[in-house]
Amino acid sequence: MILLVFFLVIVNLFLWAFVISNNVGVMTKQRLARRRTIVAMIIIIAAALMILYPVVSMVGGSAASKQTSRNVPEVKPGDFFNVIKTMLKNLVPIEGKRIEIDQQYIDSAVASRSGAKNLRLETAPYSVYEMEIDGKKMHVAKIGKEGSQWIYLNEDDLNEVYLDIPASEEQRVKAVVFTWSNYPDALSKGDFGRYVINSMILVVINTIGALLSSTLVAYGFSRFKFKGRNWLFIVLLSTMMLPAQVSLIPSFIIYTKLGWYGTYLPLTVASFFAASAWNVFLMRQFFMGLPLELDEAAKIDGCGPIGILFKVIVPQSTAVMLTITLSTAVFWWNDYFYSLIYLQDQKLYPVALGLTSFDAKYFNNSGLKAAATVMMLVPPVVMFFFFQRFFIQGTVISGVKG
Amino acid sequence: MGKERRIVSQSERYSRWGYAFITPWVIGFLVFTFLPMVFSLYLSFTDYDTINAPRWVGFQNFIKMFTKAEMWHSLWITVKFGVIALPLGIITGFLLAYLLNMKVPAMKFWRTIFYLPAMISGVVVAMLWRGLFDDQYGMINFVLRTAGLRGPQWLLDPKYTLYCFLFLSVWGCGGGMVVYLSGLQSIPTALYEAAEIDGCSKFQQLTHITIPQMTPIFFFNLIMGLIGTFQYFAEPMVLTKGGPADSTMFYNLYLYKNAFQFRNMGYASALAWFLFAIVLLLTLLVFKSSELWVFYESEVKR
Repeated sequence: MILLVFFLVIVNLFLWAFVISNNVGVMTKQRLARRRTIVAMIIIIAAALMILYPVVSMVGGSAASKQTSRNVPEVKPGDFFNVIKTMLKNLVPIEGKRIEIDQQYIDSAVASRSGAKNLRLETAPYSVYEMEIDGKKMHVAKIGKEGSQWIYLNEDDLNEVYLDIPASEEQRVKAVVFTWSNYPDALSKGDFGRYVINSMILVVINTIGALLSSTLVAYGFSRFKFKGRNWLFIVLLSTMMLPAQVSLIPSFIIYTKLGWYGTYLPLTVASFFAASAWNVFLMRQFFMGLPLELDEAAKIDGCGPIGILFKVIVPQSTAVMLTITLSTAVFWWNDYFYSLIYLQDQKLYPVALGLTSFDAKYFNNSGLKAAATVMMLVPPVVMFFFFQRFFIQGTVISGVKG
Repeated sequence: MGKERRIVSQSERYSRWGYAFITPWVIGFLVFTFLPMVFSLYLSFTDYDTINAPRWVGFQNFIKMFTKAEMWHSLWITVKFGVIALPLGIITGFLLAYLLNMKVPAMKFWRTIFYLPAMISGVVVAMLWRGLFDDQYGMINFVLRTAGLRGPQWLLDPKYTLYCFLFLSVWGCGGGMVVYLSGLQSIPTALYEAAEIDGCSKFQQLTHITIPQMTPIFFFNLIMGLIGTFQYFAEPMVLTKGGPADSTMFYNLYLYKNAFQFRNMGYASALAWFLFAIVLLLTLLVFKSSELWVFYESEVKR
């Protein structure tokens, strides 16, 4: 439903700028162009906000403490201002304010109540409440209890001690509090650090394997003529279309019989045998584009095929190598399916699988979970930001020319 | 004479080098793809639980598969999802690409944002959206309440679960967008200039130049998308585990459950082969029908 509405709005805007406006003869061309750009920008910004909202709210959530409950208030129909306010509020962790108080003020407050029985002190940091004391509204920090009453210190003047009835949770002073400790906590407490290291291992091994094997195979396909070359290349290309499930079950059985189940071998070995036809295809296309003259020159200088590969071809191919490195790294960083099938021991889990078990283990600590999610999300996004060109090259070559 | 023989032997030596270089792939193909496929075909005619030896049962797995409502149900869900999600994703992605192509400022920045969903793991996508789909505290229902509507229990009501995944797939349409964008940039500007002189409006340019030029790319993305739909796994696994009431039991998830949870390896192999047949059929169908609507520049030149 909402999807439909959203879609209709976009289509209407689109029509307004691109179809109907063409019939308006009065408008000048420049005004038309400006109008189009404005509409384009509006739609782009709206779409970007829609895409970013879940991500940013997750980042905000990752800084929230365990105690924060991100309640969505009840709303009256039509109160759209409130929606925007709440949506924005949801992006930053807003919690009850807590402050640190110098021990000397606590001590003097305790000294002033020296005769009191049942004195119990709170531990730092202290919660701040908005209370009406002596007819004035003020912000006070609760430092302890004395019987059924609470002891407060005035936040602005810590020498003022008050004894008053317990304040309710609604009287808490709200403030933006960033609990960045969720990140180190997630790394140390929940084994998440181990998952990250495991993923790194998988990424490095698979990237090396993919680079080595696809370079060799692509070199073979692009620089040598042999019987059945084209036919073999078609077979290679058609494996791109092959659903992985067809070979999945026997592979699983074979790996289990070999005793490889529960190790990294099933996840890494295939990479060394050019398992990704996409990589080979990409590399071959690139090699085909390299000038043959340099090969010839090297051949005259006495280079063998291996020498040509490493002295002539590889130095010219850093761009495509980087593309393959990045895509392989991101694939294995994100992998969930294969590790779910082949790994059993939690200690070997990579991040994606680790995140789901982390999620089950700390189901009641949303801040910690969000921190883990953000840590898993950030590396590919940062890589994309810096190496955009190479990622896009890879996607585009296979997408446009494929 | 002697010279000629030398050339032949050199080319022969070179062809041997060629075979040597592609050996890793040949071994990989045989060991990791071809032999498992043959083995899988054999398994699909057996009953195998990984503990006892495979027992030959003939066509029983296939009979079971085609008579079981569960399989048709998961196939139906996958097809329904694909048929709605793919065109929606292609249209949205193309629209975004078209808008981005209009010389808007800070294109790299927008491109990064739109491509973001395609870069992150399905597990993360599921994590990001789970909270938003919550029926009480989720943002989506909050917005709906403000509009005076009662939002459903998105992830708990079998009637609505599929919409969640549609939402996710439209959210992730930026992956295709990048391809469309570079496709748009590769369309020769001379075509537009000629159209401008002929008095074509922007909309006519879109329908008569841009879209015909882009069809090969749409076509490729459609095939890959179709295959991708049958591999859809991480999001439903993390968000719903196929439930509630099997309403999100996508084909790949059904296969996974049969193979690795119930250990019905024979039945799962039959499922995998049926999947293979479907993908093959779809691919051929799209290739065949492409003659009707895919525009190749070479055809005009001919």
